Amino acid sequence: MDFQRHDSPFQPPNLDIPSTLVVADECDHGLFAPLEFDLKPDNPYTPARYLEADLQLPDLDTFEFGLLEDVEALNDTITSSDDGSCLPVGEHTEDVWAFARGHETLLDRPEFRTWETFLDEAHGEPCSAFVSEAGPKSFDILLRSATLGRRGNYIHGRIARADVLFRSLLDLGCGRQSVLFFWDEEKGFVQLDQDVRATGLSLEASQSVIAEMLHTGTMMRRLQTFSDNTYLTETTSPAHIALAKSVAVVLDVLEAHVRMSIASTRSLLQLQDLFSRPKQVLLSMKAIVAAVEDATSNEQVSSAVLEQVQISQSDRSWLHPVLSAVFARASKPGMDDICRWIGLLPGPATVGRRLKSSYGYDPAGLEASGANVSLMASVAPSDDLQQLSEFVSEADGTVIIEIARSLRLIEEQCPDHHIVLPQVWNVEAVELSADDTLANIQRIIEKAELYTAQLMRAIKDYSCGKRRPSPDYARITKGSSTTENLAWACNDAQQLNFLHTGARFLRSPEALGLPDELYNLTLCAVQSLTASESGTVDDARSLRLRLDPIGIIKPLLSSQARLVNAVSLRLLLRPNHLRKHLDLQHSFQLIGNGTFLSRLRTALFDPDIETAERQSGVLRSSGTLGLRLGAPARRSWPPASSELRLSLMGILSDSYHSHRDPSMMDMSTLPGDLSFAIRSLPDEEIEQISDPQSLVALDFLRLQYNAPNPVNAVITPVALQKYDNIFQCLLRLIRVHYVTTQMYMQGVLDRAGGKPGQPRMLHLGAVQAMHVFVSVLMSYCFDLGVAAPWRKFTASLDRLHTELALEDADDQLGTRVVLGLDGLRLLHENTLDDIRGRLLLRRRDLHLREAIDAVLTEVLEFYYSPNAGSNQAPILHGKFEKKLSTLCTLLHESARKQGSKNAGINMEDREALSILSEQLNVGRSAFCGEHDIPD
Amino acid sequence: MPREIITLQAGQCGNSVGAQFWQQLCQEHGIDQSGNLLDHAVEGGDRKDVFFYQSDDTRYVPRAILLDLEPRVIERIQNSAYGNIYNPENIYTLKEGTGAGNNWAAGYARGTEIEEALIDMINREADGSDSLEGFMLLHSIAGGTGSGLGSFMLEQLNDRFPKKIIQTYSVFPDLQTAPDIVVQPYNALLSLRRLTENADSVVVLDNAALARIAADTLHVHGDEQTNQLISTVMSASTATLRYPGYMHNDLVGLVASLIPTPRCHFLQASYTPFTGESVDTAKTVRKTTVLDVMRRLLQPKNQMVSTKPTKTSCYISILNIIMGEADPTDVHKSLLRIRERQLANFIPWGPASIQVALTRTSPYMQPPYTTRPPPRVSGLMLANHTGIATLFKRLVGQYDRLRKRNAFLEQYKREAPFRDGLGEFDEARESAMGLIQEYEEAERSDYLTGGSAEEAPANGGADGRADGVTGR
Ligand SMILES: Nc1nc2c(ncn2[C@@H]2O[C@H](COP(=O)(O)OP(=O)(O)OP(=O)(O)O)[C@@H](O)[C@H]2O)c(=O)[nH]1
Ligand SMILES: [Mg+2]
Repeated sequence: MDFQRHDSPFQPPNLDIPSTLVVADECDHGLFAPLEFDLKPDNPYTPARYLEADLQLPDLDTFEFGLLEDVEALNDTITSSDDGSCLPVGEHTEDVWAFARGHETLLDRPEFRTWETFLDEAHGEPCSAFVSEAGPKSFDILLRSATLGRRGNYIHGRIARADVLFRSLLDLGCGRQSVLFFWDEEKGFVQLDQDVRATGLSLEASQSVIAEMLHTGTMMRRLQTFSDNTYLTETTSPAHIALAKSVAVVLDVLEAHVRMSIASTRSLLQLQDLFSRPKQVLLSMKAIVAAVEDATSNEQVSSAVLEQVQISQSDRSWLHPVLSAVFARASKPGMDDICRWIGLLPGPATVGRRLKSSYGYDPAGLEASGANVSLMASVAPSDDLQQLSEFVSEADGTVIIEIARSLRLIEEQCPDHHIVLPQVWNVEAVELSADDTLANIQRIIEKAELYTAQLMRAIKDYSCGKRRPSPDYARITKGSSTTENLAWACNDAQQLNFLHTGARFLRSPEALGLPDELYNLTLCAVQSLTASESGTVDDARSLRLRLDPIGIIKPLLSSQARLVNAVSLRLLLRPNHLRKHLDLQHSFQLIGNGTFLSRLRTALFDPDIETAERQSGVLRSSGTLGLRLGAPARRSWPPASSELRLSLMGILSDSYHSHRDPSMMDMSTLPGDLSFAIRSLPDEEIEQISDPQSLVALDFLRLQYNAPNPVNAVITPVALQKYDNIFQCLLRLIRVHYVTTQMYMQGVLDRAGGKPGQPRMLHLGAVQAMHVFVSVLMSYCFDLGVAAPWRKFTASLDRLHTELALEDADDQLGTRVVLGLDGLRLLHENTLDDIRGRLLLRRRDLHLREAIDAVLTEVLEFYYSPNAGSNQAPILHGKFEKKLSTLCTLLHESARKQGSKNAGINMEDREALSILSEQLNVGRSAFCGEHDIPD
Repeated sequence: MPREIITLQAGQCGNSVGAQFWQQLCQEHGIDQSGNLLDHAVEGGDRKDVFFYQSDDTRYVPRAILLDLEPRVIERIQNSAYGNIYNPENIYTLKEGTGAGNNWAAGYARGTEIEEALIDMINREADGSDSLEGFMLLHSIAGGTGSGLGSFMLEQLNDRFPKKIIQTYSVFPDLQTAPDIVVQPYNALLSLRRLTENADSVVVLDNAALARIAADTLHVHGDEQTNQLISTVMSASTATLRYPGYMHNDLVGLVASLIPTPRCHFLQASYTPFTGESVDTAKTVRKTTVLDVMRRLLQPKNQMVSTKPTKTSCYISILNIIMGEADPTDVHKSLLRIRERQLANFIPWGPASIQVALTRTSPYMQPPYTTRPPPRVSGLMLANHTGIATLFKRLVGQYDRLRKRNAFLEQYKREAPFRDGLGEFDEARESAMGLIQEYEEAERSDYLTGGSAEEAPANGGADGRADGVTGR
């Protein structure tokens, strides 16, 4: 349909020149027909306002000169069909036609009708006398006359020429300027004159149509601007660009839709209808575009889009396929980035750069943050998860992040590993387009299988030693990824790489491009076609899949996870000797090394060895030095750092090497630079530790260990914090145990004491009771607390080693072991949590821990009391018994409560607790025997 | 910084047992017959320095002093497979001697005569250690040298090393069947006094029980076999020292778990399962559970001393040393089971001290280093039981019978301790009676308060304790 415009479409509106729309007051030529009916009742012949109108020759065809009075009396029936019988004239009935007749006086004579004019092309039917049939013009006249004289002249609006208005509205809807509407950057499309109306429509009705079209057009124009400008902005993410492209496609479709349908569109109503669906589309697109305005990353864009898609999903179901297709496109760059991140696509990924935590211990960062890693919080990738898009579920996100971290770890350790550079090793990257969803998911699975097989082969090649012959290789591939920069060394990898690149160049471009799905979907949405009509496969599953881009790559994701896990696990367990580091933690932080324990005990407590304390005038000998905590000669506490260093010197390395073959040991340092350090404590605790007789006197001492890369993927700062917590608890216990042993030595092993008298026996009784208590507690803590969970953990590790070996024997990867680095880390941290639980170090057991500490404090009090050897012993013993009794009651309750409620506490923990409870109880019942004796 | 232990072995029995013990230690620690580490002995984790020191050429040398009043036994040891590991300077024999002739007094008197040489040896050994914890004496108390010289050594150690722990492995004679040495009650009683007064801990083994176990369980006879049993016990009871864990990793730790009052320090030992050469493999590698082991340890037939406990006899304390692949949870559950079922009666005046030490064992005592796998789990029980007093009672009874007839006193009167009369005998008897009495008192709840419970303060026990009483 080609409109003839009466003005150049490109000519800007000129406000100085009276527009064609302006009703010509002075002249009646122009757009507006100078139709004027003289209907004034008072003076029909009074010259009308416009002289020219009056001077115009009357229409000769219909002109009849004469007074109205000359017309036949109104009493006569004037009907075209002379069937007066039905309505008797002059009857009492009111003549309903009377009013109409009054206006038909000019046409009182029946018209002569012939076919004469039928062939006359120029003939125009005379206007119908009925307003309803008279066409828009009569409505216009009616409107005008009805409103004339009231408040201003133009209240009825000015009638625009129908074709111009139509054309302008059409342009408007498509986002183009026209004579009636111009574009304002601020306000959007603006109507030149507010009183324009279409013929046959009231001003309000016209304006409402116009307003709607203004809205539509503005949206269209803004979206066009968005799609045009997005390319120009430097800061936009690829997702922005993808979205802009989608918007452009959608806008194209809308225009095409309008173009296709305009031929059959005649009325404003039709026009309105033509634009109704496009308007909905535009509304949704606008919302989407508005939502991504603040987004800076791929992930934010796709999250924002997804949110909008979900919002508009409920009320416009026909639009859903379009929106999900838009989402699929907008999320593609993000997905590609993720795919690159997890090694499914070649090239550097941006997503990883923003993520806070990678595997790795960042001592500087930890120090800066106050070294206060909460014991409860785990370095679970939850922070990073939030960085990923919303469409990535937590479970998937965890998998993705784990793969990415593991890949980085592998990359760090073996930069030339085939899994890091799969393309170089002729593993074809899987190209998954959003349009793939249309195909069967089976195709994706097939792709995944192919990929897995290729990668498996590459990994196997790698482990067979088929790897870079030149040491330059790593540098080259890392430094620049372009093939041109590669040295033309005779290198398998490079040859493969070149071949591969060449093959990619040879592929025809069409092969890459698929029919534009979004175009088709949008078209059929705006044309309200069904999916089958449009030729797009659009079942519920592909809809769902399009909104779940992770779902598409899921098969790939899981095989990638499997392989990456398999490789990284081997890397960690085999060349990096994770076991060695874990054993080290067990030996020292968990005090599993007996040599270490006894050396430490001597250095800290033994009163008989030489003091490391600085004494003026006394030269220290070269023998073993110690802190002699609690010895009477001890003057100050806590010890100076020099004293600490002297006392503890060599303990760690001696203990470590006592367990090793001398020929294999590297005497210089311990793994992870294990060393003693001072625990930073809050001020109030510092005050407490300065009392050498208190239970907390040794709380300042801790072990420092820096997990090297990549061991820190498992031995995380959180885990180290837990170790520290356990070490502190065990050290206290060891100290009290030493104290009871010391009391024992002073009391029982005093052969010179002769036959003991009664006070000494009472003292011995108290010592015995305390020693048994501490021993029971010790063996609970070390056997059930530490050893049992640790044993389980090492058993799991053993199993892991065996299974890996079996996999290798079967030439497989990831078939038996599904665990990844993160799984291993969790296993480790859970073990430590189990230990802490058993040692009653968790918050929920605080009351038990406090009760235990109270009893231990009683023991220390007894030890340090100057009167313990005298008659005071029974009193002190009584205090101890009382505290012990409280502890037993609490333990008993706890064991019972846990038994009944089963509040997240596993059977074994409960059993362990009741074992402790029973053992202490049985021990205690012996004291009660005293009451059972008949006097 | 090891807590070293110096081993003294006196007389035929002491040296024979000692030789067996050292051989076993060498095997467990991967030390070959020349004192060098075997090539495969790289696993480490053990503390060889408690019982060995390294000579300048890094050979491992036992911290052992071998004493006898005749050369025959020690010469035989020196000519045996592991004969070269000892430090020759630590061997004292009377080259022309014929022993003490089963005469305690002779053994004791020779001791006083060679005191200086003996003390020199001991001091040299003590100086050679960083942080000497104590002494271990291996001897029999029925003959002359082990009992007499042994007694003398105990006195000397007590005087010179008052702060060091003195432990003995004392082989008591078979008091049930016809005595192989007629004067053994004399020798034993005289020794018992020194064991009571000058030692901190005595592991009592008696040849009657050892022979029975060897015959019943292992179907073998002879000293060789009983010595194997003894050395197994010694190896197990020192396992926690040599493969240290968190507790019981020094002598005082072991003693403190077992001996709450100074004089009641006579321990009995049980061990299971024994795996003698003649016992077929199938039987020994059976699936023994920890509970099985612990239960068997409480059975009298596995006990290495023949006591006749009375109704009132009870345990003062028990320490189980569990070796092998035992799950700590299993161990503690079994311990609880034993307590619940009251398989052992305990003293009424203190906590029922039944403890367990899970210990690592030598990696070289199992395949591929040996042909036979060790039992999955094995256990040693060291117990302080008041029933041991019945052994002393029998001894006193036999002594009294001899003494009434003044039999065989002549040879004693010839030696220095009895030159001025037989007061030594009476004091020894008195000491033994005192010991027996103390054990009997220990069976009563007023043991600590000395029978005057009302004098003692309420001991803080009145408050709300009714719940925990298990009705023993
Ligand atoms: N279990 C065991 N008991 C032994 C051994 N040799 C001797 N006995 C026991 O020890 C007691 C005899 O003491 P011996 O050690 O032979 O005597 P001794 O200490 O060398 O003293 P004299 O020979 O008198 O100088 C007897 O009860 C023997 O049964 C042995 O190798 N093993
Ligand atoms: Mg002899």
